[in-house]
Amino acid sequence: MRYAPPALWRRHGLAVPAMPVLALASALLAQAQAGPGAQQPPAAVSPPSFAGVVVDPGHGGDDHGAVGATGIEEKALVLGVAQRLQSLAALHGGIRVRLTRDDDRALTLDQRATAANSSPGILFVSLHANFSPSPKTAGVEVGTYRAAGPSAQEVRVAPRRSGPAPPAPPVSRWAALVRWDQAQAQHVERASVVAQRLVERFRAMGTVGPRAWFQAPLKPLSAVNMPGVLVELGYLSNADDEGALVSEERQAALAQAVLDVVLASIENGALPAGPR
Amino acid sequence: MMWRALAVAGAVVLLLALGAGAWMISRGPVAPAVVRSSDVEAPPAPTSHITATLFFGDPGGRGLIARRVDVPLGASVAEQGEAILLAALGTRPPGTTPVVPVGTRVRAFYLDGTGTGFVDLSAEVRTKHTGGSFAEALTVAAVVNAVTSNLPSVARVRLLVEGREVETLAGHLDLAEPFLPDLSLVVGRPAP
Repeated sequence: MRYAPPALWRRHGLAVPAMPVLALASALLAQAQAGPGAQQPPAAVSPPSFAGVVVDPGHGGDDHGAVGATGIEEKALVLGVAQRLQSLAALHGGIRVRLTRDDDRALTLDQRATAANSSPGILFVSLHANFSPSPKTAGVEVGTYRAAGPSAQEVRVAPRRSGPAPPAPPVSRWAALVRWDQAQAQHVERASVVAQRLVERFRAMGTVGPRAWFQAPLKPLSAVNMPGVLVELGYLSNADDEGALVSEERQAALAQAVLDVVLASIENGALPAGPR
Repeated sequence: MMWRALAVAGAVVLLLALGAGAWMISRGPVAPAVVRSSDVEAPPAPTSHITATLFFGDPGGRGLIARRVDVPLGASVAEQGEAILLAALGTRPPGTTPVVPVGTRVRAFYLDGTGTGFVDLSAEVRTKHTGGSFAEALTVAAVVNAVTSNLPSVARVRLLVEGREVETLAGHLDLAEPFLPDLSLVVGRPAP
């Protein structure tokens, strides 16, 4: 493939990115002059390098979320599973997990997205518990973002077509302005891969709901600037689901399932590997 | 003498009758008589209702089911929309479950002239919502589909609560944009 330098470099008559090359050469020269025993200057302030998994326990504070017949509240249930997931990840050592809240506090959806975007991760997992008008509905479901209205539909990811991939548009990465409230639209494809794997895993556990994988204009995901999935851990309106969800075994199994899928997705390249 | 006078008179009458008959035949079919409205029965009254397709909860818990319901005829699209919403939030047909919180009222329905209908609901649609993204999706879809399925001039629906824009109903579905009709949650056979 023929190398084509970006337009900005071509404008200045450069065939390679000048600044990074110059900076690298200067650093190597300084290192050689200082010798192996020289002290390193303090590192400059760099952008956050988190790149782990952001787990968002839904609701909190005055917002109890759904409430089961026995009184179990969605906000407490999802916080418990999120903390288990964080502990399991720490134990495993394969991926770092951060929570948007680690206590019973109220956060707006924009505050959650801001917290996630300020320290970029490879995946955003919003944990929820479901409810249905019918007590028969049961099972785990996974949601991904899909724009709702006519204007938002313009940012939908184009469906895959057979044949060679179209050439990349002649714009630089820095020119790709994205509306805050539609940041998730550019991550839908990758999020969908993870969602399908989660559904497969939950199906193997024998507990998938009627929608299995659903796509909707999900507000908890829309402004998140990384692949995002919303996991509904079960129906609090269903007696069997509610009974299972209060058990530590079930909560641990759900947390383990999410962690396994994240690690497997990193392993096979569906998600990028972050620092461990 | 008298008999002679009678014969002449009879002949005159006969000639007049023949002449009148010939004249009537020559002017073609007889025109219909003028009929006053009070002389006949009144025409049937105009239809006072429409049959609308509305959406309610499936007792099996799989989604929405469609039902055909008589709704009062509205004088305009806006009035018809309001009547449809009142029916959608009113008495449920047997064999269905509620998907819009009980106590929710229709505050207004209006159009913007570009195919967007605005449904303004009372606060109960949020404060009495059960929560859960599935229940929330059923609520939104039932309202949006009720309007768009019965009013061809309404292509999309924007939901408002107490006259204001809201972020979500129960923390999941983004209400910032109007919704297009979505029949993916409708299960079972078409409405009877």
